[in-house]
Amino acid sequence: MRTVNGIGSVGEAVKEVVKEAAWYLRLTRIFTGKAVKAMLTYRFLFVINCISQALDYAVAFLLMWVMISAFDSLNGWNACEVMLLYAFSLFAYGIAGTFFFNIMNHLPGQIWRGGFDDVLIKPVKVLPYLLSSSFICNYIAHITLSILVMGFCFHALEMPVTLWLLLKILRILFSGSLIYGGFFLIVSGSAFLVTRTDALFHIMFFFREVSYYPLSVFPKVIQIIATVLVPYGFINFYPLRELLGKEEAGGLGDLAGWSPVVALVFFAAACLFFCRSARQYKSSGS
Amino acid sequence: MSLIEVDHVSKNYDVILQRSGMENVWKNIFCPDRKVVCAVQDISFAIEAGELVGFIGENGAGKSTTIKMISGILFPTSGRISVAGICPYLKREKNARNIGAVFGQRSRLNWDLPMLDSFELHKEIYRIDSGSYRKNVDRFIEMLHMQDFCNTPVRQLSLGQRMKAEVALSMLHEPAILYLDEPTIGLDVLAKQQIREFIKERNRLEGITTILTSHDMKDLDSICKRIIILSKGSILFDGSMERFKQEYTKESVAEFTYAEKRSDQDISSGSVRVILDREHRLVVGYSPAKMTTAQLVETVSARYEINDFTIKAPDIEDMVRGIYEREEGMP
Repeated sequence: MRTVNGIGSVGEAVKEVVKEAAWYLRLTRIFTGKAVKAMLTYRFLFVINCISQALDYAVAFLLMWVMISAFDSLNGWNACEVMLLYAFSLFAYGIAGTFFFNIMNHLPGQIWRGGFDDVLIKPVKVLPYLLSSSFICNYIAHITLSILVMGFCFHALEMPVTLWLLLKILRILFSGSLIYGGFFLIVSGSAFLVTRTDALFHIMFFFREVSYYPLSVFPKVIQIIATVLVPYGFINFYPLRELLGKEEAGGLGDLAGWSPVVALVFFAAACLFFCRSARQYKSSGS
Repeated sequence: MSLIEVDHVSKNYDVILQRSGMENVWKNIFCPDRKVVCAVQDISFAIEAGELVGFIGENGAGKSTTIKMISGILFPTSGRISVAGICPYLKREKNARNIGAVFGQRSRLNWDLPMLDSFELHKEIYRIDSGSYRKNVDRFIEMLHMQDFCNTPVRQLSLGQRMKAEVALSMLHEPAILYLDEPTIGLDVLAKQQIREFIKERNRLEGITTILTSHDMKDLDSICKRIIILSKGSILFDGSMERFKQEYTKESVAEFTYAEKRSDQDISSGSVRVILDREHRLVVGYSPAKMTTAQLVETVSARYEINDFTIKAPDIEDMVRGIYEREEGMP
């Protein structure tokens, strides 16, 4: 009898969670609609911004291609393979940024001026609400560009695009996005503890460059750090090395299979850190 | 049980002290001095449903801290708070459904959109059903005279128009309790008047319990039935507006013009004092606590042939200044 009740209440709880999630999704849709409407005031700025971002990264891709082609390969990775690394990293960054960038961007200011109070007096959960209200489309350039580069590279590498490959690619991109999302959340959550987070963001932003190249070209120390401490290696290096069938022994062994697990654990830990930090919030008074 | 119960509540902040001077740079970085600042100290009060309460206090007296604790934003360091039977900071989300808040120094509206868009977001967040949403929006727009600007982006509105929108926004979900932290700061007389009327009207019709802080004593005088004065984190006074006026008014001033004196006898007594008497003008100070206006007029008219008189009502601002100065130890 007790077990039946237990299952019943678990079922109820799951139903409740699904209902809540659906509600926050609806909220996201409405917030995003309003954000787009607000953005129309600055549509010129938006377009210019997207173009400049796309140009910025396109030039980086081009440079990479020219440089590595000149030397044939980088530690056994040819130009297209390295560009794939970059494209996967950029795509994951774009997805994570779509959801989390605005939280990270606005939270320090909100905390500094005490505006976070306005979130707390709403009948909402802090993190889901921030996610709903912070969705942005500004990363469309990153995402489009990286898809184009991926298409080009897979074509140049003569890899037939099968359903199986697509599924594998999706798995890699999903894990990568979660890891980047985790970084965004950690930087955002720190705002509750130290208020200003610019420095942390810059560290995260610059360390991102490690994931543009095969991890194996870096000194061992960085390989270890990027595997154990900040899991940049799992965003693209380990899973792509397996996908492309590279025979090399860089990093800390063949960890491709661990990518989704690491991503989920890292992201969950980041969420936990964020929520714990939010409890530390001290209103700035007025 | 009262709607809001605050029971022996204290709140301490940990503040980092920055020492000035180059020689202290390393000290500031590695071992900063911390100081515990007591924002609110052992305060207790209860507020019944439907009350209109004004919080008075100089800057830093603990008004905002108190409001933030009862609205669930801050945890008290010690003591117990209950709002509508629940603990606001432990059940923040549940409590939030019951309350509306306006922090006058900060905007909750999206500045790039007309106020109606922010209203629609509010409707979703508070899960307001379409019927009562429509009804409230129409009514609020009419009452606050917002027809002309409800489709203009908020950044193009004047401060008064924006504040009306903020106040209306905070009441869309028909909260049981409303916290208004300086809602009329920097507004013109007309906008202030309309916002005051609106708050009173909502209280009268819906019985919304309202807690108001303001440095504008006319706000408090026209809206609040009860006053709580805070100073340095403690409650100095908690009682009705009338009692406040009686207790803290020392003297009102009345000015008479008269045709002639009936006698040369002095009218000064324990409760009346002559400030000036020449060229058919008589100015007297009197204590409203001891003497009504009618009694005063009677006393004066016994000796003077009065043509006209004006009374300068006790100014609540003067009273509060008196209280602050007394606290500061000034004369």
